[in-house]
Amino acid sequence: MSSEISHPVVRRPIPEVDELSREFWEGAANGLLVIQRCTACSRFHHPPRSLCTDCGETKQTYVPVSGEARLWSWTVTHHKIVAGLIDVIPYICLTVELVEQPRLFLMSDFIGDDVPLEQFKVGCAMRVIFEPVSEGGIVLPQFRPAPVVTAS
Amino acid sequence: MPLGQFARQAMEAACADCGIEVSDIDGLATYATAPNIGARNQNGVDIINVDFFLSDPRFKNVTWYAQPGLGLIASAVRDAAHALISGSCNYALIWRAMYTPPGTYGLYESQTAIGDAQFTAPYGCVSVIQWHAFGYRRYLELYGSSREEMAALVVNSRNNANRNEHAYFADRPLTEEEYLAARMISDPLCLFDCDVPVTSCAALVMTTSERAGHLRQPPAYLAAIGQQTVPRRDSIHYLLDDHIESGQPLAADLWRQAGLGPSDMAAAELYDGFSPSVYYWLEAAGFCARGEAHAFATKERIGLEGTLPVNTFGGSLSQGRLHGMGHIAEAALQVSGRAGQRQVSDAGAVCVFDGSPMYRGGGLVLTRGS
Repeated sequence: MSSEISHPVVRRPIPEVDELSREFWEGAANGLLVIQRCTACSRFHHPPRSLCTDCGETKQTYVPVSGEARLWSWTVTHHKIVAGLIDVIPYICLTVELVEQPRLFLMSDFIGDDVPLEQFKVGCAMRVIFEPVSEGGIVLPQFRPAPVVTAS
Repeated sequence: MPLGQFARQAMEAACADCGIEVSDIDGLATYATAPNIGARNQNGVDIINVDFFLSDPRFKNVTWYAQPGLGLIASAVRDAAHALISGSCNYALIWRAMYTPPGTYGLYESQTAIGDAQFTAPYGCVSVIQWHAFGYRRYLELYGSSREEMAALVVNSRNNANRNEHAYFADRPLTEEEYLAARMISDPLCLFDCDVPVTSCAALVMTTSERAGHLRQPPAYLAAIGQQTVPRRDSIHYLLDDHIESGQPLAADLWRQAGLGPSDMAAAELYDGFSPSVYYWLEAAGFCARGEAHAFATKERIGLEGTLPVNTFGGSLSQGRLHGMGHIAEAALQVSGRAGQRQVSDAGAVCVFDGSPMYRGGGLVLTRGS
């Protein structure tokens, strides 16, 4: 047994990139938030789909979005839900609505980051940042309150 | 006790209660889906499906069965109603069996995330309780509610369970202080905002009005039954769909079928897998306006002596998680005047709403007279 102080282990489940999601993760790895969009009716879809759930069009494309969003809601998770994250309980999960389209949600979290709880209000402005999480090159889009307040 | 034994006991008790032989049952219907991710789906062990009773030699007269995979137990009740009306069977047994494994269950153990989970699991957010917490946090902020208000609802359910011998918490009261001090599961949802995971089975017998008149107990009549059919946009967390949009069409369908409305209900049995769903149904069904359920659901209003008693048996929060079957059984007991210490007065009609309401569910209205 090691007598050293143990550090919390963060083992996020790593996305298994597939045909539909490849461009999303490639974009994130390049610091770009891209979302699948229907070529016929221009509706955004997330998670990506093989056909448009609005108009039925099969041709979908990825387009860059602004990265601007509104905080839809958030929760502090105390329960053991993901095995690889038990060490970092409690942690904050949030969901944001992209400004491009109502109910276009992306998730985010504050695992291993400072939590500006006082800035968390439903509807507050959020902005994307990118967080590398694996040696395999996966980069997670994350959302932080915007504008970022810096200490002077 | 194994789940199969619970199921047999419930079935035999239901038959004995209405005074028929097990062999009189000629229709079988259930919603058998296991509630927990990772269920083994072993018949008689963690699920009880139609084959379980078909394998029992006493069920030699079965001519009809149904096992819907969508729409919760209300779908099985609806199928049975159609089968009885069409003459496919005369006495249908409806049951819902639930198994909860010991210890922690449902933990996401994979180190990879595939399909839609690749957009949720890396953020540690894969559970319906977290998605419900999102919705509830938003509700609290948008409508200026508080956990103190929710305490009234949760404590009321516990009080009702204390008058229900079948409730998990039959003998254990809960105070507002205990509720507010309970450990958080996914803030703002605490332990007592979650239904009680139990291993249990409830069963009931359905038949035609004519046959029901000759049975041992006064019947409950099915005045309306419907399913939640609202289209759902793809989303990483479907439970964030608008609760009014999801629940209102079902409620409108039930009120139209029954020729009754919210003000005609002597009680409301509202799905409470997580406590905020009760607020959502109160608003979607029209018992109060949008954003007002938190103020509506006071002890004076939703208690057994109130103008709209809610979850008179303790709900899933205090009786135990039966995914709506407990609510249906209670509605039947109330309209037939058999709810004992928790009987509400003038129980001419009682409604059940089953589901989140954002998850595919259903609802029904039971009445004392046909």
